[in-house]
Amino acid sequence: VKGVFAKLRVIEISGDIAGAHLGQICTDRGAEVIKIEPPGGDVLRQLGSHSVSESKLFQAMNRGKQSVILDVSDVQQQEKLLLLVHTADILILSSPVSERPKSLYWEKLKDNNPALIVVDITPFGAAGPWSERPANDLVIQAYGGTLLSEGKTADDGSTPLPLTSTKMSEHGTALTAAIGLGSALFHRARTGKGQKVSVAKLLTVLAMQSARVVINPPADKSTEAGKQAMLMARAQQQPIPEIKNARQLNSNRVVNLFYRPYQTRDGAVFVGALTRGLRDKARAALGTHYLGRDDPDFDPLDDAQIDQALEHQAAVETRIKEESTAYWIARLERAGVPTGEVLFPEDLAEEPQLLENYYMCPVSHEVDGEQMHVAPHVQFSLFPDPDLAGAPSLGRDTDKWLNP
Amino acid sequence: MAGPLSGIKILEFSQVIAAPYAGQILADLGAEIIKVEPPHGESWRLQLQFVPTESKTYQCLNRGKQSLTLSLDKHEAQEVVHELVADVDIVLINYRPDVPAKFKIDYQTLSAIKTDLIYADLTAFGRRGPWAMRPGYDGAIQAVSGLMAAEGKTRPLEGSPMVISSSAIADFCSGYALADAVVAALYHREQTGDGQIVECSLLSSALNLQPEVIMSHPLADKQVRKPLQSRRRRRAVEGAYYKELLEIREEGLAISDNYYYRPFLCRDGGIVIAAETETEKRAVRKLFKLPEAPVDKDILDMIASLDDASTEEVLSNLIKAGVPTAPLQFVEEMSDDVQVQANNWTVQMDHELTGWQQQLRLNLDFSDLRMNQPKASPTLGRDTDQILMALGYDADQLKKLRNQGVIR
Repeated sequence: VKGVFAKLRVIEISGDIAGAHLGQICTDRGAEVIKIEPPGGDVLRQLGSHSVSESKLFQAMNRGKQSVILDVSDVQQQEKLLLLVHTADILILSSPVSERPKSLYWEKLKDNNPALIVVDITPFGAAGPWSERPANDLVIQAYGGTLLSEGKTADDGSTPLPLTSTKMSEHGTALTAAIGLGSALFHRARTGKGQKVSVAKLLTVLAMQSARVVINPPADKSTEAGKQAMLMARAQQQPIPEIKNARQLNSNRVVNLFYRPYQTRDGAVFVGALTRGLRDKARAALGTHYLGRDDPDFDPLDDAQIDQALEHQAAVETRIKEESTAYWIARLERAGVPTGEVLFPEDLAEEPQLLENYYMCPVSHEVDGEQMHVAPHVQFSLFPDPDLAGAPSLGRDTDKWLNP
Repeated sequence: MAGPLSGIKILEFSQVIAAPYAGQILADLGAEIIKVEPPHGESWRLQLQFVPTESKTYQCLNRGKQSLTLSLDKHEAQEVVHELVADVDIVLINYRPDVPAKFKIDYQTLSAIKTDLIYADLTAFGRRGPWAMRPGYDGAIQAVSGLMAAEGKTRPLEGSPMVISSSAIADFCSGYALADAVVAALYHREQTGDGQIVECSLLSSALNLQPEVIMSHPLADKQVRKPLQSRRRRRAVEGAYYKELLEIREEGLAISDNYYYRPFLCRDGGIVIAAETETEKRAVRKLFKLPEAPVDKDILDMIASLDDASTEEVLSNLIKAGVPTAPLQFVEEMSDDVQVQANNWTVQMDHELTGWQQQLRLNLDFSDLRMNQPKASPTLGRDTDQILMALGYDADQLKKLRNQGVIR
């Protein structure tokens, strides 16, 4: 076994993506990870499953682990679990807060195992009226504002829709927890002491939208009116579509032609000119003279200027749609404008860029056979070729750990 | 001890969001960070600046650091870096793969000076492959990583894709990835004495946000995914536009309305119902008096009843029934939110140029460590003189470097 976490033993009690992802980061780095699953199996095994107790989601988040079936709510079984936890370096705890037995609290565990690191993942933090309520990614999207910020709506034009491409609150939390775990391990290596590290999913999504949550009075002057209008509509208990209107009235109406995707003749391409210098290059490559906010006289509140912007935008859209994606990628690349083809996720496992960087790696599953996984997000030069094994079948290792 | 990384020194070469965010997290954890910026300031200071060289987003991503201005294309600046590296633990860097060697700040050069250096390297697309030398921002990564198509936002009528805009998601997750790489490598160095280069990329981070979708699984993909891929590719060859290709994908994957797991509007706001398990779904059916297998009319009735109800009442019923739920809230409301307040997630600080501000604190609580109160981001080049003087430069030399445009 090799990797920066070699010789570490991890007990994972999760049931969500965040805890499973963190456990997988540990196995990817050479730790021994024992995943505790309820008698029916982990929830992720049932989401989009292709055979009994097996799903891509579960297999993608649990490679290299051992699976032990144990009913955490059963007092006798808890005894067995505690014996195991006393031998561990790390306990990952991200199961629903209301289902966590008191015996697994860090304050109780540390007497037997003072070097133990407990990673405590909760949806809403340790305090407050929501702290013990059940949650998942959709709940955090709604509560933390990403859902409404994203602005997707159903065909009726008003019912908001959630983000579906990724579970940001889960994966972001797993990564944050990995930072906490690594820091706690470093601290333990320097002092010999374990501790509890806590992470909250709600704070993850807030951190990922921080510029909208942070208060900075001089910087906020231009958006303050929109925010106040929104808060006022909220206080008057208006419906969501009305509140969204109020919020948009005074907010930024800039039409940005230079940082957005466009349809081409045979697909779609992203134009990524984020700075003034890049926008000048993009103007040349796209054949437009439109200055937008690079014009000192630009006023986003002037309807005539917005109409003009939309005309320029329509012209660029038409122009880009006449040529192929390959044509535009080549042209934008030559001009030095950040760009990329809009690709479908199902096609990526065969993409040369991913293969040449070892971003996909073969993994063998004991029942389902060969599969290609997304490689770990960090490449360590001292461990260039990590051992990656498939996810365990349900309860495969129960006897090994509970009835030796 | 103030934070788990107290005593650790970091030299940061960074711009925009991802690497600065990683640096800020490490600063919050107690590390001492010198951020190297070009004399005119890094690009994120200048993007949407509200006073010259200060932007809100820069201030949210660079708190607690020192700012050192250096023109890295100049020999004298490279000398300063080489003197500094002798005394740091970590270099954080995000440049295109060919740039560090030009500035003599590549791993080979710097690890020759400091043999146990941890060199944490973030690129856009990785160091190899046909896209390696492309400049890349969050939106470009969303495009090539499949996130954008999977999200499926398109412009009404016109049909072009749209970026995920609630968060610069690939950037932020790359910030986490890079900070994670650093602490994992530090742990390893503490035990073995060995430094190393650790590599992350925006692309790799974006792929890791959707591992089960990117993953290829011949057995599971046989029935739905493979046929849908062939159908989509065939239509692409026949000249179908993006929007149609997207519709083929969504239809093929049966991405459809799931009334157990979606938002609903109420009279004065809205909520989500987020039932995933069979027990939770049963609770939803019971609460809304839905039959075992509801038909469209049942759902429309449910939507209509929610539309007339107050958010507070619906929420309290769902909570009582044990269904995961939450109100639909706007992100701008969150600074006053009850959970944010109860958990003390905000932190106040004074910026020396722009005054009082409130930020979010680090999303990590350590039971046995008292963390330092975060300090605001530095003004451009604030610490240049002090850092150079500590290296032994005197006033005349500083003046000379300034005249040569090496420092600001």
